[in-house]
Amino acid sequence: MKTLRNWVIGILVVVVVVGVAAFVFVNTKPQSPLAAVADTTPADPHDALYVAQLADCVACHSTPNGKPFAGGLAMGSPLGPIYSTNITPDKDTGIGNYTLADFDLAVRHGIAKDGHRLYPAMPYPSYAKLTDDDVKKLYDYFMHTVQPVNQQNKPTDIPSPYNQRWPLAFWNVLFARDGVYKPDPSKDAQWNRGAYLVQSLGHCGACHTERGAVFNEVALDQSSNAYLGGALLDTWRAPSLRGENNLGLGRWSEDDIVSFLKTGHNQYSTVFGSMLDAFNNSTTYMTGDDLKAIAHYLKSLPGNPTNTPDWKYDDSTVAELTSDKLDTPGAGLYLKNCQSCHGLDGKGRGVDLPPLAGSGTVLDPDPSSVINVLLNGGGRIVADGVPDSYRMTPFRVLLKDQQIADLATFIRSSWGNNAPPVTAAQVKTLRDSTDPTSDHVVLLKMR
Amino acid sequence: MNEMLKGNRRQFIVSALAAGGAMVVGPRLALANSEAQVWDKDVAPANGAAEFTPWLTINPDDTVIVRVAAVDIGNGTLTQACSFVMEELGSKWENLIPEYADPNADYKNGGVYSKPGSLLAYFSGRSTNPDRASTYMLAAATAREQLKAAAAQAWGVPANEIVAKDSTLSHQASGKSARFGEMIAAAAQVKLDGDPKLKDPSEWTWLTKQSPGKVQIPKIVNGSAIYGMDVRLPDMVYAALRQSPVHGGKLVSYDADAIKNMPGVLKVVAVKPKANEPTDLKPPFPFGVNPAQEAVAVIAEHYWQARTALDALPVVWDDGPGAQWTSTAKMNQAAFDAVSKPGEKVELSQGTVDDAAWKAATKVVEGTYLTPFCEQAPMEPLNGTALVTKDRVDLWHPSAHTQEAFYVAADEAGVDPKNVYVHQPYVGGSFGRRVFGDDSRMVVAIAKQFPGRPVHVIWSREEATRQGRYRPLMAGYLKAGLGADGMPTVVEGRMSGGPGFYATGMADTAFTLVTPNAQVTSQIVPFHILQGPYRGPGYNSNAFFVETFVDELAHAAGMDPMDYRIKLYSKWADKGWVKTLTEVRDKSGWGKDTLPKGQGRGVAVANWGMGGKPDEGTTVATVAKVEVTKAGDLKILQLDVAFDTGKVFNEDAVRAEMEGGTLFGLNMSLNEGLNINNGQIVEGNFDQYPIIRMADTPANVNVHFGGLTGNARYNEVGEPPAGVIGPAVGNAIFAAIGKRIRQTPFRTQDLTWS
Amino acid sequence: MSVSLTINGKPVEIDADPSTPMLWVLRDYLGMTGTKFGCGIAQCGACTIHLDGQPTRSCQLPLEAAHGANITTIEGLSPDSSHPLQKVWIEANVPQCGYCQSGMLMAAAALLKEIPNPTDADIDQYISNICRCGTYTRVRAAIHKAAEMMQA
Ligand code: FES
Ligand code: FES
Repeated sequence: MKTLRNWVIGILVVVVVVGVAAFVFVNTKPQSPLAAVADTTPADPHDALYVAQLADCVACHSTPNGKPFAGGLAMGSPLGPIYSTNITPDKDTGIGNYTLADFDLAVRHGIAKDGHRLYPAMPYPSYAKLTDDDVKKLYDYFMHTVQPVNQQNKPTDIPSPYNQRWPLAFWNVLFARDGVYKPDPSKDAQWNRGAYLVQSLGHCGACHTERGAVFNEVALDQSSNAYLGGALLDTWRAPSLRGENNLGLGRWSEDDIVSFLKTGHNQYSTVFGSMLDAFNNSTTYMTGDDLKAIAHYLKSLPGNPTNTPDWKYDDSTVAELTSDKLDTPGAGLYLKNCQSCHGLDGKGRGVDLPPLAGSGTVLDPDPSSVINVLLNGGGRIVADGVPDSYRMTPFRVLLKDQQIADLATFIRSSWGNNAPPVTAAQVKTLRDSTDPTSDHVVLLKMR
Repeated sequence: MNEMLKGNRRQFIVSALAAGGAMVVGPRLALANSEAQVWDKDVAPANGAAEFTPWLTINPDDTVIVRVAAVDIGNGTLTQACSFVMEELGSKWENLIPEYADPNADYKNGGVYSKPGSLLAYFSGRSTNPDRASTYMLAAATAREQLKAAAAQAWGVPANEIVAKDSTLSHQASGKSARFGEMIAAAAQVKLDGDPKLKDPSEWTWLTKQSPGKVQIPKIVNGSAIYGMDVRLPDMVYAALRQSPVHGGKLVSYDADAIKNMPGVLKVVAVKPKANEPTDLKPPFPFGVNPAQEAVAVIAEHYWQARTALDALPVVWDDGPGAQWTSTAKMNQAAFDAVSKPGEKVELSQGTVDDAAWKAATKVVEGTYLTPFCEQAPMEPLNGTALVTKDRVDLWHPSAHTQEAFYVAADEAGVDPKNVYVHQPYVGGSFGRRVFGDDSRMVVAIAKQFPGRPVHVIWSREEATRQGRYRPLMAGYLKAGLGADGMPTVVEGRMSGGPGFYATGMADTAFTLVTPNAQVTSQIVPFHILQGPYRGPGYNSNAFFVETFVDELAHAAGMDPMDYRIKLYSKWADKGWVKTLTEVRDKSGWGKDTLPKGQGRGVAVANWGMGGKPDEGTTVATVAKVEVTKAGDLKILQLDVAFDTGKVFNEDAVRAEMEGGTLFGLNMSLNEGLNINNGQIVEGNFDQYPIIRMADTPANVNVHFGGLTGNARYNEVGEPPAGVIGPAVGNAIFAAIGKRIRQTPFRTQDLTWS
Repeated sequence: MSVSLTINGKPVEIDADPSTPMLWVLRDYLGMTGTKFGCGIAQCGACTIHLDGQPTRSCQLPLEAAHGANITTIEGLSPDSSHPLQKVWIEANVPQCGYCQSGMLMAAAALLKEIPNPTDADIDQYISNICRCGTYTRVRAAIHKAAEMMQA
C-alpha cells in the first residue's frame, strides 16, 4: 500500500517539473506497427485458439460462473480490487470496435482504445514481446471465435487520487520496455522458443518474478538473477523457477517440468493454488514441443546461491510417528489428518499425492502457500479436460488457527525439512484474506 | 390388534396358508457376490419345508425363516422380530433366520405384511409396534401348538403334556422326543380349534429378560454384509448423477460430446422424474411428498469412470426462483421475521392469552431461537440398483421403507406392481433420509433409460449432501408470564419454517399443555430448499426452543433449573417426566458439587411421540456436564440420560440407541448447519460439514433405566434422545459462562469469556 | 497398463487406469465390497485398508501408488472372524447400521499393532473415523477389551 502511494506522489512531483511536456506526452498514443497491416484474412481458428490458450487470457478475463472473457474478476492490487474487463467482441461493452491496431496497443502497450492507460495487472510488459503474428492470431481469435457478451465493466474500487491513470504513462516508459522478443543467436531454436513462451505469452514472470516498489516486475528476462526467482502473489507464494536445488527447479529434470505442466503432477509436486488457473486453462493444452522448449529454457536459468536451504531426508520422523508417545501437537494432528495420503514417511503416494519431505513449497521460508493450501485445499486439477481424482482437503472448518500452525510447523520441521515455524497469527491473517476452494470443477474454459 | 387378527384369526391363518402356497416370487436374480443373503433368500419354502403362516417357514433342518416387514437401519428390527418368535415358538435362537418380507408378495396377498403397523409397516419406525408384536407371537404360538398336536398324534399322548423347547418336542412320561423338522409336514396339516393362548408377560423368559445382539453383526465384522452400495449383479453398469445446484432448478443443456470418448462412458442421460401425476397406486406415503429433481447422469462400465466423466461434463442449469435466497443470513432473517408476529396457523389455543393475562404476570420473559438446515448424512451415500425391462422392474435399494420404494418403482417405470420386485439389502443409516423414496425414484428414472442391464446409481457424498431432504431451518419465539410461584401462567409460542416443516414439539408438549393460558401459532416461509424427516422431525428443533426457554424461566424465577422443571412438570399427568428428571438428577451428580467457572451442568427433558397425550411416546431427560475454555473451546465432560418408554424388551438394544441418538443429537447441536449461497447449498462433504469423532466424544454416555414407569407401551427409542441433548448442552454452557445460546450450531457461536 | 500387488496374501494383477482410487479397484474391479465408500476425500475412514501394514484411506490411494504393495482389507483381517476385535465387536454389540465398521475395525487393528495397550488418548489420536450412528463409546470399550484379550 504505502509503496504504491509513494510512487504516485513521487511521480506527481516529476510531473510538476516536466509540466506541459508531460501533458502532451501522456495524451499522445504511440502508433501500432500493425496499423499498416492490410491482410485481413483471419488466421486458422485452431492456431488462433492455441495462441489464446498459451496467453491464458481467460483466467483473468472470466469469473467462475460468468461467461468466458466477459471480465469482472477482482484482482488484488495494493490499493484495492481492480476488475478485469470485458474482452468479448461486443460492440457496446467489449472490444467489438477494436481494430487490429487498437487491439495491439492494448495488448502490447497497455493503452485502451479511448486512450486510457491499463493497470499493469494486465501483463502487457510481457505481451510487449509478442510477435506481430501472434498478436494478429489473438485478435482473430477474439473477433471470430469468442461469443460477444453484453456486460458492463466494473469500475475499480481504487480511491482518488490513486485512481489517476495518466501516471502509468511514465510507468510504462520505465518498465514496459517496448520490443518484440529478439531471439538470442547464441542459443538453439528450442531455447529461444522456450524463452519466447515463458517471457511473452506465458507471462510466467507476472507471478514468479518479484515486483518492485511500484508494482513492476523487477526483471523481464534471464539477464537478471531476479527473473522468475519466486514471489508472493494473491496470498500464494509462487516458487522460484530457477535452478535452486530445493526451493527452485534444481532437482527437476526437463521431463519432470513437462509432466508437471501437462498432467499437473510429477514426483516432486502437484499443481495447486493460483497455478491451477494457469494449468487448467493453459499449460495442459500446450504441445509437447512447446512444453519441452519451456522446460529447456527454465533449466538454463542458474539458481540463486543465497536461496538454497539444504535438505537431506531424515527418517527419524517415522520413528516419532509410530512411537506411542507423540512429542509435538503437530505430530498427532499429522497422524489424524495427513498420514493416510502423505504417508508416515512424508513421501506421498506416487505422482498423484505429492511428497512433503523436501517439497519446495514446504521448505520455503515464506509459509504462505503451506498455510493457504492447508486452509483452503488444493482445488481441482483438470488435465486436458479430465478432472483429477485426488484433491487436497481444505481444513479451514475442521482445524483451528493454532492447530493449522502446529501442523504446518511439524511438516516444515520433519523428514529433514528445516523451515521456520508457523504462528497462529500468520494462519489467522490468511484465513481472513482467503476463501474456501470448492470441490467443483472450475473451468473458465473456452469451449 | 390389527384388522386381520380381530375376530376371525382362524381365517387369517388359513387364508395366509393358502397365500403361502401362491407366494413364489418368480426367479430371483442371483447376486454375483452373494453368498446367500438373508434378504435375498427365495421366499418359496426350501425342499420339504412348511409354511406356518406367511410370517414363518420351518425347514427340515429346524431353521426358521422369520419374515420381517420393518427395515433394519441399525436399530435391530431383524433381531426384535426374531425375539417375538423366540418367546412363543420354543426354537433355538440360532435357528431363527430373519428375512425381509417381500412387498410384491404383500401386494399380491392383500397386504398380509403391511397391515400390522399401518403406514409404518415396512418402515423401521418401530420394531416393537404392538400389532407386529402380537402378530409374531400369535404366529409362533400357532406353529408351536400345531407341532405339539402333530407329535401328540404320532405318539398317542396328550398334546398338553408335550414340551416345545430348543427346537425339540419332548414328552417326559413316554420319553419320546423329536426335532421340529421331523414334525413340520404333519404339523402344517393340523387344524387347531381356537387360538393358542399367548403367554402372560409375567411368564416371558426371553422378552425383557435377554438382550441378544443384532443378528447381522457377524456378517458386518468380516465385510460380508451386503449393503445397497455393495450390490453386484452380472452385467451391471454404474451411473453418477448431478442435480440442479439450486433446488427446483431446471436442466437446460449439457454437452455430451465433450465426454463421450472418455473411458468406459456408455451413455449420458437427462433425467426428468415423474412429478406427482395422478395414479391409482396406493403408496403408504403419497408420491407428492417425495418428488425427485431433474438431473443429468453419466452411465459407464465402472463407477469411477462415470464419476470422472460427470465432473468433466459441461451442464447448464436454470436456477429458477430459488436463486433469490442469496445468503444464509437472508433466510435466517426471513425465518426470524416470520415469528416477529403471530403465525397464520393456530397450533394450540387454551385459556385466554390477552393483555389481562400478561398484566397479571409478575414477570414476563421472551426469547427468539433458530435451528439451521441439517443433512441426515447417513454413512452410506444414497444409491440404488435397478434393472428395468419392458414389463418388469427389479430394484435393489437400501430403502428405509421397502413398500414405498415398491410403489415408487412401479410408478416411475409405469410397470404393473405385480411385476415389481424390491430386494432389500442392509442399509447404512437413514435418520429419515431414506423413507419417502425420492432416491428410489431417481434410480429407476435413470435405469429405465438403460433397459436390460442393471444400473447401479451412486450419489457422490457432495451430491447427497447438496441434494438432501433436510431438517428444516426453523425459527422459534416464546414468551411467558410467570406467576408469584415462578411458574408460567401464560405463554405464547410461535414457530416458522419452509413449506411442510414439522410443527411437532411446541403445541403438543407438556410445557404448553400445563400452562393455563397458552397460544401457539406457526408460519410457513417460502423457502425453496427441499425438506424431509430428520431424526425427530420438528421435535429436534422445538425441544431446543422450549427447553432452552424453560431454562431461562428458571433463571428468571431464581430457581435451580432442575428443581424448576420438577415443579413445572409435576403438573403434567404423565409421571414419566418427573421420574426421568429425578433419575438423571441423582445419577449425574447434579447439585452435589460446586463446579469451577468455565464448567457447568445443564438439563433438558422432552418427549417424542406423545402427540399431546400423557403416557404416550418416549420421554428423555439428559444432563450434560461441559467445560468452556476462555478461548471459547467447548468440551463435553459427561452425559447422563434417563428415559421412559414405559418398558423395554431388549435392554442393551435400547441402551445402544440411547447412546447413538444422544451423540447424533450432540453433533446436530455442536456442528451441523448448512449454508446457502445464491440459492445453492455450500457444504458438500465432511471437510465442510463436520461430524464428531472419537476424540470429541465423552468417555461414556451413561444411560439410566430408573426413569421407566412400567407402562406396557414399549415405545420407540431412535428419535427421542436426539432432541434433548442440544438444549442440555446449551443450558450447561449458560451455567458455565453465563452466555445464553439461542441458536445452533454451537460451533459458530462466540463462547469466549474472561 | 496393469498393476500387480498382493491383496490379503494373494497376488493380483489389475488392469485399470493406474490413477483409479484403490477403493473402486477393490469394490468394482475385484468385487471386494467389504471396504466401504463414505466420502471419497479421506475424511470418514470407511474405506480404511492396511497398505504395507499402515492404515490407509483407499479412496485417496491411487492404484499405481500401490504397485508391489501388500494390502489387507476387512475380508483379510482374519480368515474366520477370529481376530479379537471381531470377537469383541460381536460380543459387545458394537455396530448399529454397521456401514462404518469395516473401517473402524481396520483402523483399530492397525492401532493395536502399533500400540498393544492403548490409552483413551491413544484411541482418540489414532481412530479418526466417522460413525454417524454414534458407536464411539462402544468402539472405545471394545478396543480396550480386545487389547486385554491379546495380552492374555
Ligand atoms: S471413503 Fe475414504 S475416507 Fe471416506
Ligand atoms: S454404525 Fe452406522 S455409521 Fe457407524
